[in-house]
Amino acid sequence: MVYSIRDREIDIADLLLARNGDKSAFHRIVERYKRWAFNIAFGYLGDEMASYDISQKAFIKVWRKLKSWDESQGFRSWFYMIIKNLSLNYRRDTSRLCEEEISPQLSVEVAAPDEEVLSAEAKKKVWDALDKLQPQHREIVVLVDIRGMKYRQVAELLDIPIGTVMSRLYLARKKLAEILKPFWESEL
Amino acid sequence: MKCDEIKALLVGYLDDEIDSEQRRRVEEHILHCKECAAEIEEMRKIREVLRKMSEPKMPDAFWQRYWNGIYNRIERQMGWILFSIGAIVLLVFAFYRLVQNFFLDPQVSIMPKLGIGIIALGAIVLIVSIFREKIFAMRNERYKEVER
Repeated sequence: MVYSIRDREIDIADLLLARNGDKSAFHRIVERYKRWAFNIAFGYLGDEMASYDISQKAFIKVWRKLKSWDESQGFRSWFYMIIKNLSLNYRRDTSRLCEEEISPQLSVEVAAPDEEVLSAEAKKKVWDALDKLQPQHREIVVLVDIRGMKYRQVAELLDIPIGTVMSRLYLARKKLAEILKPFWESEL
Repeated sequence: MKCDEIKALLVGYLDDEIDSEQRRRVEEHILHCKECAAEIEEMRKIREVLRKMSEPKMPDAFWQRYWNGIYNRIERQMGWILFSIGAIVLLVFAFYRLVQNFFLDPQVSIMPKLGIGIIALGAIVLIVSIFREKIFAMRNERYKEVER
């Protein structure tokens, strides 16, 4: 999702209207960002229903907090932080309940890198591995490798230098390789 | 070029996010450094696996209902706020009338006054406790302001 100057202007115009209580302007924002918000939440949660719930809560938070939104901050990175914080809170609150479910079953095989499509089980294995990363490492992997964003876009979104994107991505992939390597090693 | 410098460029090399001069230096280095070459291979494999992780494809009906979900939640929240304000107004009024017509009435004996008084006190303690816990949880929100 390339964020052009025109997109930014449209967002700001609708957000200013929504700030004054214009529901149709807020509706337009939801329509433009619903898939994006859902996928960002999914990157943190790996669960469709939880992502639906959290992305909706994030939109409601935007509606409630619009008065305090600083136009100069830009909408997308502000909204991203809202989704991120809600997702991390959700994970923290549910982690104790889900501990047993999340723990890896070593008998499940992860597809080797040369296989075209990952099975549902393999995907779960990768999500479990992503769960073991620090949140700031996980988000970079999700944005770059799963969402297919360029480093510059990620740096803008998270308001961090490109060098930090690269170093976090390096550490994240290294850790993931450590976790996942045993599962495909025998097939290589 | 040292291995540490290569590691900093390694992901950029794989994702084609470094300039041609940096790319040339990486390629030159891995020609004679087996350790870095092996690391690049390992990273390439994990990258390939990750790139096969697609985002979920939700049905059209899911997206069509999405706005209604948000609208209903906002409406419900507004309903709860109005309901709570009304309930608080009624409770304050009921408390005022209770004090006026019950506790200050000399014809009512001390025992029912004491019983009702203790129940009311217990209810106030419970409400204050719940509110305090909510406020404490909000103030100590671990990820409230996650660092970027």
